[in-house]
Amino acid sequence: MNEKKSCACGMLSDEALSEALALSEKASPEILEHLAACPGCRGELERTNAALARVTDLAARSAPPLRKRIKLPPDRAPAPARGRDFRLSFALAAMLLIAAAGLFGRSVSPLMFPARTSVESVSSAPLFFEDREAYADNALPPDYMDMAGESSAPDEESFDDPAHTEDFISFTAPT
Amino acid sequence: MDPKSARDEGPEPLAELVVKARAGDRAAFDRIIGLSSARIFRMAYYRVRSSMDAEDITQDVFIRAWENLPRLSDPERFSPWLYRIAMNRVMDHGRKRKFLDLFRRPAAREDPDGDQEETDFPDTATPSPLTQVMAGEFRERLDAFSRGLSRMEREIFSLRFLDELSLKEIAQTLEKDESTVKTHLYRAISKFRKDREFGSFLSEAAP
Repeated sequence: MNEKKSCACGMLSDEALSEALALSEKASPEILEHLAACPGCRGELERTNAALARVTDLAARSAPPLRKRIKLPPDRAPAPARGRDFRLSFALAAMLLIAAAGLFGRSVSPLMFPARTSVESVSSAPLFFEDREAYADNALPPDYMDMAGESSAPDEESFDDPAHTEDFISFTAPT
Repeated sequence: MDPKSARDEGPEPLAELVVKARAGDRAAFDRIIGLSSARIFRMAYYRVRSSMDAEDITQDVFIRAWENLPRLSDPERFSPWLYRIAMNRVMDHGRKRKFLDLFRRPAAREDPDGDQEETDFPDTATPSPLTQVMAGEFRERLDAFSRGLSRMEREIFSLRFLDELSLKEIAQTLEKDESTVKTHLYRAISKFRKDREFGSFLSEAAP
């Protein structure tokens, strides 16, 4: 059957013949017209059709029969129909949730915005840059110096005063 | 039941049974099983090549079909829908088998059909030795021919000539355009016509 690719007439291509085989009477009118007129192409078509029919026949005979009795387990029930209605209601619920989040802002901000880091929150606070001098001045607690027995009000001049240094030495290393 | 008898009754009775089964009528679904199980089994068998596995797949296909039947919108599309379920189950089976192959001995892994290939028909009216030999050789030739096809060509050729689905049913089963199905079918048929070994075997096997 396969020795000839197509009829000697050369009118019908390999592809056209395959189309006729695949579609039979639904093939294009030109192909059907040619097949009606050309016994060579018609013979080739019939030979291949017969071979394909044998494939179907042998496939049916070569498969083992179904021995198991197919039945439903008694406890199985059909699942409730949840087609588009279910998906639509789910989508509507999701849209409502997003809309509510937009309206009520901060209460649901974790859903809408990424969490801010502590650095970001501090740096974006307006008072930080404006009052950084005050922050620097108050870097040490006011009663820090009391721990060393000095005045709680730090005096820059006292550090340059030799007497102060002596006093400090005498305090740390009493004679 | 003879698979062809189900088709001879026409689409109306099956569609009516599907409507009844969709409403929860188990008897109607049992009748659908009677009409379609042999075809689904054969479809699964030619893909997994083990009658035990094909039986399990067939059982599973009908359980899933029963459970999901209320979701089938068009009863006329029951057949392609059922084949679609079957194809998914066959693919699941293939994936499971590939995974299990990782733990099998290399010698057993070399032959993908391995110890599961069945060449005889146990527990049935014993066919003649000649029929058994012919069946075995047909399956071998079919495999050899299928290896020369692309995956899509193989699937469409099988659905058309082994499972006897129409082009429209194939398109619905594979969820492809009918024109795509036609193109792959032309190519598969063209390769079939060029396969001389398969052709001469089929000529000899002619009754």
